[in-house]
Amino acid sequence: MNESFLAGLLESNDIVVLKKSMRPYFLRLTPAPDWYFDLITKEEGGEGCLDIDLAPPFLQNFFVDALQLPRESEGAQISSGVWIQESQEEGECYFEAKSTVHGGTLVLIIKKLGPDFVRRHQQIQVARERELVNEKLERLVRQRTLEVRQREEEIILRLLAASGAKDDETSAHVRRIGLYCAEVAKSLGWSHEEIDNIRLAAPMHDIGKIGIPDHILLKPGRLTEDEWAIMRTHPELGAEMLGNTNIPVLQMASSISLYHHERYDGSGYPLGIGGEQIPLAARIVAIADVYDALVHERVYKQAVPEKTVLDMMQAQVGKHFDPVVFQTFLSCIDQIRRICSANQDDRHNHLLMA
Amino acid sequence: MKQRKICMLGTSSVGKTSLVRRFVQSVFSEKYHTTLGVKVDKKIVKSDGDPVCLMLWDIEGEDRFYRIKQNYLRGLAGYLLVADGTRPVSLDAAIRLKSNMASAFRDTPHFLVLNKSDLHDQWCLQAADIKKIASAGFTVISTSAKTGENVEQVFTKLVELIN
Repeated sequence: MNESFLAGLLESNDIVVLKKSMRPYFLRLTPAPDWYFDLITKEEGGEGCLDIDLAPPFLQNFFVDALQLPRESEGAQISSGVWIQESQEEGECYFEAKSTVHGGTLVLIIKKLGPDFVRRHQQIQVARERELVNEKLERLVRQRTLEVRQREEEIILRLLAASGAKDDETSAHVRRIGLYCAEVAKSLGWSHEEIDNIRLAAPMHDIGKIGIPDHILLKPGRLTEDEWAIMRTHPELGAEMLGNTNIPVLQMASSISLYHHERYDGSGYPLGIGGEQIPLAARIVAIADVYDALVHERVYKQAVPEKTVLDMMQAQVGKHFDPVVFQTFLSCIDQIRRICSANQDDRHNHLLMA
Repeated sequence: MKQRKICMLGTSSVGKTSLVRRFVQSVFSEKYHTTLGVKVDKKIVKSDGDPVCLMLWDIEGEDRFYRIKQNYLRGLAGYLLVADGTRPVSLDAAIRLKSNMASAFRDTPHFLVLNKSDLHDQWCLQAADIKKIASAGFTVISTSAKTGENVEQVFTKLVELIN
């Protein structure tokens, strides 16, 4: 038994000490305060006898633990924890029981908790009220953040609709690119926020095409060298359009736009950088974009069977594609397929809703 | 008379005490008074025509200030996991509590009680929350300790499952 508890016992009138006697009794060793008879309605076995079976239910439950205390464990102590008992005069009263072994005898101490406990109660009451307020504020912040994010989505959606009107990219294609990339990012262990950013940013990878003249962008035949040179400016055009901002999703979109035609072996454009110099988001988009473009029909080509597509892409690992990202893409191919079949062109405006 | 022990479990401030008070005394208070420790109330109900004495263990809500002692659950016949529909975190806490319960209580009859249905317009459970409830295998009953909606019923149904 610790010293502060013993000191408390000696100073307090709010305790009753009992010792274990023949089952089912405990024998009271100290005078009984008035409150004791609110707890123990009567001493059935004679004065000072507490019949275990007639004790309050909480105390009965504690007796099970108390009676298991080995008699040789001198000084060992267990506590019941606090319980509340209704008193006719005082309303709710708080109690705690402790059990210990003293001189080989099991001793039970019942304590009515006083001002210290009331203070503790008040502190916890205040702390819990504060937690409720904080929780509510956090919910509000999350709600507002969500609203801002929805507005961002709406703006991006309209931007994409405007750019998509010029070429043959369908709304479903851009939506799928975002969702594929989010899936791969998730498998790579990105944070929720980053995953959400790439879901929104990836569909904007070709937005720079809005700056390419129609006679080149929409030319049905092969492009000349000069026309290709112009066409190859779309990553930088897009990066400029989306850059110079503090908004993380647009920063990521700008970066994706600039680097999504770079290749892992450095043979891409516009900068000809390779490997991990290419931002990871752009390496993810490169894979998602090629996969989706090949497995779907376009006005100028038939859809390629998925197995052939994956074989073709596998052959490009280390050349066009990052090996690790491609492996990750393959590891989530089932989810990719589900996204693909659930997001066919619906001509609706819900481009980016996951 | 048969006695049956029922525990009220959940995080703090979800309305466990209010549900018991509504059920036992038919009263409700708007004032939040946090429970410290355990309060045991009794109520006699009829089950299949026979009286049953319910011992209602209202246990302090588990949160960062308090961890439920597993020995309070000894002799448990059924339990109500209470969550507040306006607070998704309380639902997570209820799911966590269930998964933390000793295996001996895994098949003990219980319901997930979504309390505060009188504030239904402020509930903020998302599709993901509903999915969590379903995958945790809960039977859900929404209640309001304030209006009394479903309070009697949730205890009665639990007693039916127990007996």
